[in-house]
Amino acid sequence: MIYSIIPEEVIFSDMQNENNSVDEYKEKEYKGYLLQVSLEKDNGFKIQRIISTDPYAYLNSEIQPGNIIYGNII
Amino acid sequence: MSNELTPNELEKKKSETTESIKEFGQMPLPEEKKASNKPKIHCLTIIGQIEGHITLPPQNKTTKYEHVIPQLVAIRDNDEIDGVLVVLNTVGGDVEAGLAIAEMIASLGKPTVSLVLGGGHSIGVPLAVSANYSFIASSATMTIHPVRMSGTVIGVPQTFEYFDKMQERIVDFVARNSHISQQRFKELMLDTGKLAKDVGTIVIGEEAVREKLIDEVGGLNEALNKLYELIDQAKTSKEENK
Repeated sequence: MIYSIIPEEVIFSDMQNENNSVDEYKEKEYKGYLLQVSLEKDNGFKIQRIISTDPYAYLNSEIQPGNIIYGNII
Repeated sequence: MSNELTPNELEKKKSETTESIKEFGQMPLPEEKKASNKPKIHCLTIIGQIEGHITLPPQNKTTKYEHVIPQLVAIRDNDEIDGVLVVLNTVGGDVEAGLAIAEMIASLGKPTVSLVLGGGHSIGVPLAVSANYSFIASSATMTIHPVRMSGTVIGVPQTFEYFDKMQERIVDFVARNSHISQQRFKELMLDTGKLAKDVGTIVIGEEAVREKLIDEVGGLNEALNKLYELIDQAKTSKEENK
C-alpha cells in the first residue's frame, strides 16, 4: 500500500512506453562500495549513486557520481 | 610542522589533481582529516519514494528497504559507529517499508537525529519522528493526509475498517515517537480546510515544531551538534553504569 503525496497514476505511469524512457540502473559492487550504475556504450559503468551510509564514501574521488569505471566490477 | 607537505609530496599531489581533472573533469575533493577522538557518525539519506514490496517504475527516485534495513543492522552492530544522522527528503511511499525503517531507527539503540529538508511527506512523517531528536529546516514541508484508495474499491464497511487500521498504525507510531497526541495528529490528517481538492494539512518548518511533531527548527549544523551531544550523553551514561 502506497502512502505518498504523488498520485499512484504518476508513480506507476509507464514512461518507457511513451518513448520517454528513463535509464535503467543496475547495482554493482566496486572496491567494497555498492554503487548504482548505468551501462555506457563502451561497456563502462557510469556511477549514478553511491549506496552507503558512510559519509566519507561520498568524498572518495574515485567513486564520484558521473565517473565511468571499467572492468573489474562485480 | 608535521602537517606540511615536502616538495616531493606536493609535486605528487599536483599531478594527482591534474590527472583527476583530465580523467574525470573535476577537482578532487578535500581529503578527510582523521581526528581520533571525534565520534564517528553515519548518515542515512532517505530520498524520493520509499520502495517496499513493489518495485517502482524507473522514473521514480527511490530508497529501497533492502538497502536501508541491512545498513541499519550494520550500523547497530558496528562498535565504531557512534550515531546516525537521518536526512529526509521524501514524498512518501510504501506504508510497510516506511514503518519498518522507522521502527528500525526508533529501536537502533544508538543516538539518532533526523533532519527534514525539502519535504518529509506522508510516510516520511513517521520516519522523521522515529529518531531520538528531530529537526526540520525552516523551508521544509510535511504533508499529513489520509491513506488513499486506488484500484478497485469494494464499497463495504470492511474496506473502511481496513483503511482505518492502516491509518491507525501510522497515527500510533507518530504519537509514540513524538510529542503530538494521537487526537491532534488525526485532526491534522483529516482537516478539510487546508488543502485544495484534498483532505489533510501541510506544515512548514516552524509549524511542525509548534504542533510538537518535530523537536526543533534547524539545519545541518544544529543537527550534527545535537547528534554529538547525544553521543556524549550516551557515552557518559554507559560509563556510569559500568
